[in-house]
Amino acid sequence: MNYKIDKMRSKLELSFISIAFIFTCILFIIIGSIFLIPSFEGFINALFSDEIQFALRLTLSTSIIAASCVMLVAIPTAYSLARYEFPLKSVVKSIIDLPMAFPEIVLGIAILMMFGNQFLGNVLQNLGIDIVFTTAGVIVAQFFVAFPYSVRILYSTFNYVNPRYEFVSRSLGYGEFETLKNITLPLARGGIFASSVVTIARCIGTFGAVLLVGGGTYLKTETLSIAIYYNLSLGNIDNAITAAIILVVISFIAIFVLEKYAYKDMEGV
Amino acid sequence: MIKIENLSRDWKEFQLDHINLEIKNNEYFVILGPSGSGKTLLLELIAGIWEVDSGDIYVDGKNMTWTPLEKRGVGFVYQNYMLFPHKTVFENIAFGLNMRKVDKEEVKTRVNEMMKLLHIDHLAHRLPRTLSGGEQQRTALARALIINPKVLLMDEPLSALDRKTRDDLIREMKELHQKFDITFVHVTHNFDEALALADRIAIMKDGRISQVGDSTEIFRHPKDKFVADFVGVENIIKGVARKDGAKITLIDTGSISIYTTEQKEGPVHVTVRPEDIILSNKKVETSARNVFEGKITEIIDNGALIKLTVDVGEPLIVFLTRQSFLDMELNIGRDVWTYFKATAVHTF
Repeated sequence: MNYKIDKMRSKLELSFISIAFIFTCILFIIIGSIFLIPSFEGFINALFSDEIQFALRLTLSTSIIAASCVMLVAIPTAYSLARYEFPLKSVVKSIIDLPMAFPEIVLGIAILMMFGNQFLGNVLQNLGIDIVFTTAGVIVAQFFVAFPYSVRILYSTFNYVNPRYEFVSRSLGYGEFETLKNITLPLARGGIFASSVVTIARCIGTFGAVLLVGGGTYLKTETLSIAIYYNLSLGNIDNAITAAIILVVISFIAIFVLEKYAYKDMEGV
Repeated sequence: MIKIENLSRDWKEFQLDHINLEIKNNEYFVILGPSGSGKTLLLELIAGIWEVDSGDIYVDGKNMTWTPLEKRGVGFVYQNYMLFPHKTVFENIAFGLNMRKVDKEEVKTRVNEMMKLLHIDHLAHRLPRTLSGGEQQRTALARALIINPKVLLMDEPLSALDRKTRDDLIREMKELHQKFDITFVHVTHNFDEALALADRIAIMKDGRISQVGDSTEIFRHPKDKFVADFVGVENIIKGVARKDGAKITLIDTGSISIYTTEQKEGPVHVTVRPEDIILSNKKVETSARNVFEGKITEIIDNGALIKLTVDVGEPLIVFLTRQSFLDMELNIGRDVWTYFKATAVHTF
């Protein structure tokens, strides 16, 4: 009997491992194949074309700004969710989790309505601030797409830092802010780093919300992912694939950095 | 002095219920209780980590109930050390001084002194995760003591350590208490620790203090069955130990002298298990070193076992089976002889 159970188990093991292996392979081949499509010449031409160069610079600059803003807001948000009790805390938590489950494009249209010709949009327009169909719009869209992910990671990071470290620090005379600066943030640095990498990757990759809010205007608010969509629909395969390759390379760098630094740093805390 | 008045606090399904407690200046005070009795919560309330629901906490006459943790001047030591993992031993100990804008050279001198005192000076540049439990707890003690707190609060500081390290630290903590001359409040579930360290002990159960007193008082006169069962010792006698030959220690209790094979010197507590004591009507030849004559002062019938108190100068509790009790025809006031071996005598 034992033998039979062992054999059945190893069959299960075998089939699960096969599934994991086969589908990871397929995924890898799918991603890898885009590197084989363009000719080298076509790739270089596309890479240095005005459109792709502009899209690359726009994507990186808006993403860095958006990601920085996200971190500034997400750290206090995640910290308060992890440490403090306050009214409606569970509601705040669900609202922050919501955008992870519902489509990005819905978030996009919601932001568009909010900052368009009504509500906040009118107020801001009167102050001379245009959000919709501008670079600022791109940043706003990226911000709200990435924010929940950032809070999620930071929340578990702060939960992971034992509050007793903070108590000890405060018993030694450090105030709450000094303790945050000297103990909590240094202890959470691995998670903060991981969260930054994921945030910036989300900002770079986002498509639907950025298209709706930014408008995807040629050489104005066209990010790399929008460039893929436009160029593909215009039949400009080289440009589309080149933009895609840039995004894949950025993702690989992000994952590599994450594996190498963030997780290693979290050990022993 | 720490004075706690009517302190209450709900914590999930658990509550601290109108705690009243006075801890004297420079006292070594132990809060003893089983796990889940609320002793850690009480300690953390004294430290100011949580807010109280009602009641007051006074330190040196000042009401500290609403003073934030960082302004209370208390040191706090946890069972699991809580050394900052990203800082070296030196940096951990220096942490509290850095906040106080102490001159760099002075920090160095004081940290070095403190490390020497706790025998961790060779570990200065090591990270906490590379240290043994005992070394980590020494570092934690040094970190708390260096800011000269008014009170040192310790939550099960020795419970995670092995027997030998614990015994070493018990001795050193006694010395530290004398040297620093501040109030120590030590929470534990281990009554050996309480016995070895405490000037006074509070017994805690289900969020209440059941009894406060010095160790002899608590062990001799447990207020209720819970305390008696929890402390679990029948015979406990105070005395002064001195060497009597190479392998034997003599303990003078003031009225009798007890021999033990344990090596101790100075003030000690002696315990003998009742089942290790032999009783007889007449003096007999035996290898037991401790022989005392006394009168029976109390007989309690526990069913299968009869519990006798024999006054031999100190009250000794002895257990007899019902059969031997009947055979010996014992009653109150009767003179008997008690015998126990030097190896049956334990000291704290």
